[in-house]
Amino acid sequence: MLGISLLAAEEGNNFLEQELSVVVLLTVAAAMAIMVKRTKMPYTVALVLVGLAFAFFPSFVDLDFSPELILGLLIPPLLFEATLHLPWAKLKADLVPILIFAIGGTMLGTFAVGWIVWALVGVPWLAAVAFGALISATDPVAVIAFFKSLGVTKRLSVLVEGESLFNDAVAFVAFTLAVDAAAPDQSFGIGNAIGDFLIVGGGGLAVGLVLGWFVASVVLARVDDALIETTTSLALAYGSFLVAEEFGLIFNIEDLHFSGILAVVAAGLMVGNIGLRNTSPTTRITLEYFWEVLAFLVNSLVFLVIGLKINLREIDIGENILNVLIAIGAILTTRLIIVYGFGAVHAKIQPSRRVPIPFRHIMYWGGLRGAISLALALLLEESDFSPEVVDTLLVMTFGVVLFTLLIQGTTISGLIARLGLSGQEANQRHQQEIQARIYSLRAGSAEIKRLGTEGVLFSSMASAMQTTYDEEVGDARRELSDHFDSHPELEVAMLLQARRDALVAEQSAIGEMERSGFISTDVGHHMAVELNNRMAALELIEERWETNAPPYGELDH
Amino acid sequence: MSSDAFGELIYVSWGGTGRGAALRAAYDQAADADQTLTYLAILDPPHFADLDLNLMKLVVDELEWLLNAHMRTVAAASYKQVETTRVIVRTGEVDDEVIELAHQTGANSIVLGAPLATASGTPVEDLVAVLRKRTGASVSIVDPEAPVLG
Repeated sequence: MLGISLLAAEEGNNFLEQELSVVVLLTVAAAMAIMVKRTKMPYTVALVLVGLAFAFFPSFVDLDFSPELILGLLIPPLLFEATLHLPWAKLKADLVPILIFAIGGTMLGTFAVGWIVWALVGVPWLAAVAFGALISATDPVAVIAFFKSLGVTKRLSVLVEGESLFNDAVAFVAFTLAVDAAAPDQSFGIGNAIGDFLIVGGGGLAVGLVLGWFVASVVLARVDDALIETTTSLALAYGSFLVAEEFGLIFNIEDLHFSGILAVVAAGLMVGNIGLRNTSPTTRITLEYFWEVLAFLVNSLVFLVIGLKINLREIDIGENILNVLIAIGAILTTRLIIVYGFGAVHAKIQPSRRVPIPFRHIMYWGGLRGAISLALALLLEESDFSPEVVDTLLVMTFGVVLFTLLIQGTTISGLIARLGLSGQEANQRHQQEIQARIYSLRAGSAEIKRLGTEGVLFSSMASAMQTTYDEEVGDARRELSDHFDSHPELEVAMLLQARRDALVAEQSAIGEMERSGFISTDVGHHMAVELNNRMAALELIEERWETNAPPYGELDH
Repeated sequence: MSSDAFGELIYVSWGGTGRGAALRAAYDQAADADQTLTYLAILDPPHFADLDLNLMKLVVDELEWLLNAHMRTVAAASYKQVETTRVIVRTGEVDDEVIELAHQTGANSIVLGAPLATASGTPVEDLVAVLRKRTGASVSIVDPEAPVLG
């Protein structure tokens, strides 16, 4: 009895330790989010650095994230949220280059990186191919965050996100095939691999499309309840992953499984492009906020865990540095061929949609590696490769992830600016400076007026000073008007922002009236729904009307 | 519409508010020619066909609100004066909507200010030719970055 009690107490303590660790990580994530707002450092890079620092305080965070947990619990919501905001119309417009980069590029990357690693590091061929596959999965989270803050065109975001989503899936399938082929009773043949690839990938897509269609066209279309619909979308994100991965188990078909990642991608696209238009505006807003928060939480955990997993104290840097450098060289060289070589091929196939050269520079240098690569590398621990090989590949993966996050991730914004793809930044800054000047001058003018009215200043002096202030305000207003003449997109952006702020203020006012009892709950609810609808319409306008597309022709320069 | 005005200028935008000093240039052009100015915003099928009727109505209302505010901002910033301005938001194919409105109002100038190089899949140069032929109005693209059209 005492033994059971002690065991229960021990389990309880263990749970509390894990819970405390999660609380610490979430607090750190929130603190980092606040801190990086004032720096140029990507949020995810800051999280990895903090995670690395935790290695020197092992008792501070005691959390064991297994690879299965990262893949099964953290990756599905990340992918689902990313696809929710990927408009099919824009994805379709660039589907050819995206698929060329994602399928052709990932296959080339898998075998080219695999060959280099096999030849220079000396690991077995299948282990090298598995490494080539896992390291080909790009992770655009840090880059996309920059795109948003720098006002980079939506087309570049779609190209980068689209490639990443599909190459995650391709890399995962290729990785699984290589690892499975390394099992004692298995062999690896190109013909079999292509066949398996089509079955695993196609099956995953089919599962995601069917489940996604059901939720998007049946549940979201017929149920009008924001909470139920949001919960269903969460169940879909995890459900599509699980059903695809465990398809054989569920339907009693031995050894059959599909790509869970592709299933999540397909399901997310269905909900984002069909489901959201079948919901009420209130649900749409609730659902989008929910996924935004969840993605923030999961992203924070994934990148902190990456830092935690790269245990700096245990890595023999001297022994592994050459292998890591070989891996970095391999991915940079292969990415060069993929982005510029395949980009040139695509330009021949589809000249009207060729990917501009500056975009290709960003796609090359912005090809960071992150959560998926790391999760797949951790799965190697359960493969049939020898422990020495697994350790070598793990360190190489960590090295590449660190290099891309710390070197590429911190320099990509400079490249974006250098290529002139963040044209809005300087203009926006200038606009804000003029606005700030107008605001401060008006405050000064108001103070002079007050002093004059209260008799602290002679009225003639107050009047003269006010006239001077008024002239300065007039000059600043004319400068702002001229600035908008040159950059009218700023005027539109300002208009949209002001409208959004005004609608939020209206919402607060309605809530205040309801709380004060000036209006009934029913009236308050009705008005809140109406305002939510207007907010949803505004978001649609921002998303579809203000497309940010280059005006005419391409951006080649 | 003012009877003193020398015709009507329709400023057309689809897929976005327009790059460059599009609306401002159209406003000044209408003021110089003493024309009334109609801002015709078109929610075309490639971008909006999937919305249900209720949501589409909300989007139309909200866009109308925003574009009215935008038009007033432009008017306030300009040293010139257009006597009558209005905003119309329509849903449908770009060429159909422009032609219909031009016939209704007897517009003599049409100015295209959209940021997109195509309208419902038609190259903008072809759209210009169609509008010239079907409306008899002068048609131009008011975008500093647009290619010069004959």
